[in-house]
Amino acid sequence: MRSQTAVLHPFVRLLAAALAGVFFIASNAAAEAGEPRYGGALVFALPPNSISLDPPFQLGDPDVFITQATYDNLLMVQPDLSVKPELATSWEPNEDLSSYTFHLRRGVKFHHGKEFKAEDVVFTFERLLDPELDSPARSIFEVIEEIVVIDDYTVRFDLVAPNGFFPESLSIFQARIVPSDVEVERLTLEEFGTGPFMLAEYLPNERATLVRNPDYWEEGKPYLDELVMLNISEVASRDEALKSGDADIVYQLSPQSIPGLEVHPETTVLKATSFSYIGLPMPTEVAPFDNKLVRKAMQAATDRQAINQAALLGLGVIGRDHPIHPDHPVFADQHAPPDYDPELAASLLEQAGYPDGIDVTLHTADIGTGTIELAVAYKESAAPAGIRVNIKRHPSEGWFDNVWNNGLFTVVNWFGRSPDQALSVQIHSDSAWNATQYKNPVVDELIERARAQDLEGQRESYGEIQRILIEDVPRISIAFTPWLYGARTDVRGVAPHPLGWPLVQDAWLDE
Amino acid sequence: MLRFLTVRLSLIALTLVTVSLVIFVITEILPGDAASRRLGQLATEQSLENLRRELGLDRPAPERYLRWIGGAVQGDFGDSLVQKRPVADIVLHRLWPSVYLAVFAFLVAVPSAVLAGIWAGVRADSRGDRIVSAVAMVGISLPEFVTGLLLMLLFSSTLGLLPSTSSIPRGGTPLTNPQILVLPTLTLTALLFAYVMRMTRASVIEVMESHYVRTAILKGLPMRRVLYRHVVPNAMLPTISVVAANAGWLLGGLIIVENVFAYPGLGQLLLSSILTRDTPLLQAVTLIVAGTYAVGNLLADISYALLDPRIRLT
Repeated sequence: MRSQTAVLHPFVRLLAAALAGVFFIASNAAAEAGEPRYGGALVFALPPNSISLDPPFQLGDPDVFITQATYDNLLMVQPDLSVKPELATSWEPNEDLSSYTFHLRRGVKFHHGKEFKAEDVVFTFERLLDPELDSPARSIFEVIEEIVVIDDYTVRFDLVAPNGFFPESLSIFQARIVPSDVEVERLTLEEFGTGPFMLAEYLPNERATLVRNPDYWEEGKPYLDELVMLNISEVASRDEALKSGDADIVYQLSPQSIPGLEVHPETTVLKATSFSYIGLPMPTEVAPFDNKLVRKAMQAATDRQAINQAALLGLGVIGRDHPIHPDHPVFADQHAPPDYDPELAASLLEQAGYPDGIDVTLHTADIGTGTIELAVAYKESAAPAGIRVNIKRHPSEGWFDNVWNNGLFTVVNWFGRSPDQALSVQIHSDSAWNATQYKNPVVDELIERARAQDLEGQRESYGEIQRILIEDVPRISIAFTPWLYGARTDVRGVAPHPLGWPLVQDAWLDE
Repeated sequence: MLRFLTVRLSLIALTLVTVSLVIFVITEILPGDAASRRLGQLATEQSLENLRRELGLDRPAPERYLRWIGGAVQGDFGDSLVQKRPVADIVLHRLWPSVYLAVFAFLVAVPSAVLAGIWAGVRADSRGDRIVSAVAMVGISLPEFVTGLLLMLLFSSTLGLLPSTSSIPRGGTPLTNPQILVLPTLTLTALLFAYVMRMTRASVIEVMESHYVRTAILKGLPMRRVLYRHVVPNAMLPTISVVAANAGWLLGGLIIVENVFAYPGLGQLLLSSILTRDTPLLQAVTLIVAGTYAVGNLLADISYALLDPRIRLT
């Protein structure tokens, strides 16, 4: 068997090397190394919004947090973007990256006693691919053609096409491994995982209490005796809970909370950049956005710095109208949209046949950090160019149903994804979630080609995609949003994760 | 009396049915439903259709309402659309914490407000009266979430005396952990105190100026006796109706206070059931709130009659 690092896709290895250390724009005591101490209870304060603990149907907080601690994936992308084996000990692709063989960890037991075997992997992915269940993650795993059980501890995934990104995609939260002998109805309110913690008491929208799994497969982990997810709906109440010590970590801090927590002697703020971003997709089949000159005018009329300041208090990383983060190895620095230039925008509008400017309606709702402020700041930014933005605010309920992805000019807040997943979901012609209606066979082909390429080839393919997206402007990407956590100063080993939720098996409490 | 009760109870039943219908219609009109809420940004038309079928949301609205109310009158409030377990289990678990909090708030706020009102009314326009009235005015003017956060800032974050979050520890109840009730109770008291105190004060002043009180004082009765025999019983009548009306205020306050302090009661459940579009759960909680309000008013009317022989209930 080849060694673990050798079988990683070269892209992932390089990515890890490039990003180790780069990602933490502000580190603090909580990220420092030291001799971990055992014991204690760590309390996370987060908003109540439980939907389901069943992995394929989780949507976000606090459910994903609970399954993060109670289940394992086959492998897990780490905060530095390296890949750590979990229930798979190693894996190797075939020559053209169209088939992957996974070697499974032996002797792992689910919390209800069943031994983990290949049948559980098959069961998990059959549920994810089941058209009747129709998990929101199904489209990501439709690259799987067949899952072949070689023996109890070896599974092979045959893919429909070569794909170097397949292993990474196994670490998404919907792909937590569930046992094959479970009654699926019970997965909504109970857990049947192999993870470092076990759910001892679950009161949806109130509290989840998790206790240490003494038989966890990773030697010596976890360090904490107990992990509590406390649901507090009010932002100000979460901040006070942290200051008074009722909570140890407030996850997904609002930027407005930062000054108060930084001043307080017992609390601190952890900041990390993320691949999530806020932007303005334009419906490219609807007038006036079907005119590329109009879209280019909208682009030139974007004061990214000012909008970043208004929407994210300047903590965001400026984006370039595509979903690839500047710290990413495939980011192409040579391609950039024009700087803020209202005069250029006005002349582009004139060329497009709008000498007197245009009126556009921008639809927005409170669907994430800064999405309302983004719309207001864009209106200010675009006004000098003769783009008169009429803001229409919607309730966040029903937003994804009735407004977004319905041929309207809207704000968007995309959850962080790898370049391949982000482009496949947001830009590829076949995607059901391409709110820009942008269809470009050249881009589609480049997205597909990159999946089978080495890093040099990917740089070329993704570089070309970046050039085309900046040129065609199906969307304006304003900035990548920061992950913000408030923490007590005695919390250790909780590193913010650029792709999502922090990993809790490394967490410990100092004296 | 029996006739009165029959009429009033049937009116309450009618009110509850109307409330349930109004809530149902509102949740129908509002954008989004439990299915779109559960699937979020990555919902597709196909997955929404599948989930709506699974949850029974594909049936026409009148059919869904009739089915629900048919069950409800037989005591079956259906299953939560999100948690997929009986609504009754979820509601009962959250009901008791709210009852404790409401009862505590009433026990603290009402007697203290009545006493303060009598005290201030007897010495109307004195310095003491002005101070009590000013304090009550502040309490009435500040919204509950401001009062709650101020108390939290003072007693938990700064002094470290009381917990800022009123989550009930595992295996405990609010009674075994009374410290978690202190700040929510104080916040609700600030709300209730002002209304009851001002009403009591006003009626005491009015009664003090009446002829029978003047006669009692002039014929030489001790002041204490005048107060307890003549002033207080007569001044209590309007206060009782204010207290009853405040049952409604208290329930509204509970929703906010429970969310500020993360106290696991009905108010918090109400908010989360709205956010997740869990209609059966929302219906059950709303009916409890509306029912409490209606019964509170009925009790006020009955006690009115018992206290005032001039009123006969028919």
